Amino acid sequence: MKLRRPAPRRSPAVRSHSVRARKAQSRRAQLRELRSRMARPGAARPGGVPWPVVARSPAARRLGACLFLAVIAAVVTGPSGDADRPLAGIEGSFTPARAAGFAAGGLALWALSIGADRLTTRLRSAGHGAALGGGRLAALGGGAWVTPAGAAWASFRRGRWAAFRRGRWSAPAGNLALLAVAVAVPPLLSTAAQQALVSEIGIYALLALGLNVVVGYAGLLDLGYIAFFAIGAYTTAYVTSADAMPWHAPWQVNPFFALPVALVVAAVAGVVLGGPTLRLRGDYLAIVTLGFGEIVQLLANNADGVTGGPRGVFGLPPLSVDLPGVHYSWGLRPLPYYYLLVVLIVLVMVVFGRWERSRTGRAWTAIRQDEVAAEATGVATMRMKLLAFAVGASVSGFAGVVLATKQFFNPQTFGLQSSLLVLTIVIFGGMGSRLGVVLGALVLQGTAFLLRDTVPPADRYIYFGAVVILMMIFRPQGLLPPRGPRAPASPGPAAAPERPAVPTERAGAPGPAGPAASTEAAR
Amino acid sequence: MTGRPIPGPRPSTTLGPVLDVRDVTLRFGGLTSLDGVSLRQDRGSVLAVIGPNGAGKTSLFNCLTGAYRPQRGSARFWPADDGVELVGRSPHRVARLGVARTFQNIRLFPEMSAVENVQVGVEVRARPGALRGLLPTRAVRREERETLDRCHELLDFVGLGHRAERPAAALAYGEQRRLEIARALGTSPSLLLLDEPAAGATAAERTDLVTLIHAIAGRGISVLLIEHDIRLVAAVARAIVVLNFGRVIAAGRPDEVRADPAVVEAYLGEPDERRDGP
Ligand SMILES: Nc1ncnc2c1ncn2[C@@H]1O[C@H](COP(=O)(O)OP(=O)(O)OP(=O)(O)O)[C@@H](O)[C@H]1O
Ligand SMILES: [Mg+2]
Repeated sequence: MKLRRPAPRRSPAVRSHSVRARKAQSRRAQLRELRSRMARPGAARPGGVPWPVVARSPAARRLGACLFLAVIAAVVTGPSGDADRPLAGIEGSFTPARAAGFAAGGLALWALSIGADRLTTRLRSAGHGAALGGGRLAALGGGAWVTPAGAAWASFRRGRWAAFRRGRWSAPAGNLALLAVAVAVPPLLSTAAQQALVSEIGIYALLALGLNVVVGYAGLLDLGYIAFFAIGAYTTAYVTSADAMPWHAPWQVNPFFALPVALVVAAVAGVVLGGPTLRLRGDYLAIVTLGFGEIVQLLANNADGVTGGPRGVFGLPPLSVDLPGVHYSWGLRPLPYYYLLVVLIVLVMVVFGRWERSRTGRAWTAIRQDEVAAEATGVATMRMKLLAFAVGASVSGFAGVVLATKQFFNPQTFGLQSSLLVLTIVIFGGMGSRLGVVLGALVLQGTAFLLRDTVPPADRYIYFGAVVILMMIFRPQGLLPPRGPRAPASPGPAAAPERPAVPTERAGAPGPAGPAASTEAAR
Repeated sequence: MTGRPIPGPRPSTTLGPVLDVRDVTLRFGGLTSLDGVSLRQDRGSVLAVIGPNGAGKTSLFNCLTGAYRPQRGSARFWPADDGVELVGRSPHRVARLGVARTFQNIRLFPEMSAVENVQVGVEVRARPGALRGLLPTRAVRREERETLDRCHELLDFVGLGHRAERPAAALAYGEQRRLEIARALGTSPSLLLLDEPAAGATAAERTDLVTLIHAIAGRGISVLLIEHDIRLVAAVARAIVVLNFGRVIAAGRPDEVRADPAVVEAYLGEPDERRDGP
């Protein structure tokens, strides 16, 4: 970091010491962050940094990421191979000219990102300096040119913008604005886009909101989440139609009543799956839920006599309201379904927002952060985890009802890829953040929709993979991470974003294999 | 506080034991980490458990709080006049009965603020029903306010009132230890288990800790304490139990214990101070 602006007035020894200390501190903070992130899904991973040693320097890491991105771009834009010569596509993608071009592109991206970073650090530090000591820093020379801009930026950030954000009406106002956009824009879009808004974005946003409870709040990694979606959809088929399925419930109900039915059935399924499996931690839970998802899909596929098998389900009645005086059917157009989804999503977000800040939400957070401590503090961890599972499952069931009344579906709709897609959306959007996961669905699925003509469907997941990897490197907390504990109330520089935290002693406490760790093992 | 369905903190006025551990044996494969441990603690008293490293002190705590299940033995606990068995209950049940603990390696909820950490403990005694929080009725609001008041009161009690909004991970080491105590007190225990609360503490912090433990006992809460610093132990505890290789080798008043030849022998080559210091 030779580009650091020289700090005048300090002796070199002091300076180099403080720079080193600061660097070490920030590196420690990063490491800690990484550890706590890894520990999130509830499992205590025995020691070790899960990242190769070379990759610890941020610049090197970033270079790797950019080159990686270049490789992916090269492969995706290159020719495709075929069964006879499977590697032809790869070879064709890396002709010398192309390889050089993409490598240059990767390097350029890296340089650009480093440069942008430097600039923001400078702006920020100049801004702090100015905010702290008036024009003193500027008078001292070095970097005077950025100071006014930095100061302006800083005062904007801390001043009016911060006041606005803290203000009482800012959150409702922002939410209303978003809602207005969500309501006003879709009618202007093409039918294909509206279709995507319903079946690609809206339904997945709902799914992501449900999975967010399981993964984001309670910290349980559930890879079979899509199974509850399937359960909701098939339940709807059973209770709303007498001829779509080889078997049906003895009575048929209006699809709207399928909502509560599917909610209950999916929640029960969540409890049935969770009961025996939630005692498992971390990786084991992930594997068992993965198995559950596969089983449900296989059942849907193979139990022809009950589910209709691979043909899938079609001809379910659309949603409709038949009250005296009010007759309305959602029919086949996507827009009405879109608005229904908006209502459902807003409803779920409001309810979960309350829940998140309640005792239940705190108990989930506690479990996510340290299950042993939560249990010892009296939190009924098993019950709370079951609740998270059931709540997530029932939201998924809701989404299943909308899917089933809207369109054709078959067992393939509920494949592992869909499960992973929902998980990707949650991680991408920001685990634990309601608005984040909805935006995540919009951005990821929207991108997929926009690229549908240029990128073959099979390649979509390459992009998803790349996006998620980049996200994990540059913004591991997700697009719109949840707000943490409120920042310390004390004004001034203490509120700066990068304040170094005093290290928790958990990682480096004397006797790392001590009883606290063994408590974990013993149970 | 509003109606609580679980036996609360009210210490019974009758004297008698708060804890009676009988013949607890815990094995891990071939390793016996507790070997027929028995001890008895009077209500409202401070009892210290000392012993060299690996003696089984933390294992004893884990057996009492349901984290480990001993192969043999019983531990009766009197939250009020009626005793209950602790062995065989899950940790959260034990906590709800009124036994709270801290951990030797601090285990806070690192990203939650100090006050939220305590809140998790306090809310364990709240009215049941996960759905109650959904509707902000007046009763729910009042409960939330009372909970917060109690949390702040507890933070003040341990001297962390000014740190209430800080994330737990951003607190200093000693503050984290005190926050763990506040969180444990939040569950309204009648018995508090402290696992080496003075580990890594400075001399001044030790003095504060002695005061704090006296204040906790002054609230009628019995304290079972693991500690290596014999002077600190002598300052707070009327009775000491010495463990070595999973057995109780001595028990009694601090001065008696200190003079006991078996204790001197157990600690030979392993002075009290060994694990102390930062
Ligand atoms: N989960 C476990 N699995 C295997 N052995 C264990 C486990 N927990 C404790 N032990 C063993 O039991 C013995 C007692 O350990 P314990 O942690 O209770 O000692 P301690 O008295 O608390 O020591 P220290 O002063 O170091 O904290 C040790 O030999 C330890 O290795
Ligand atoms: Mg110990």
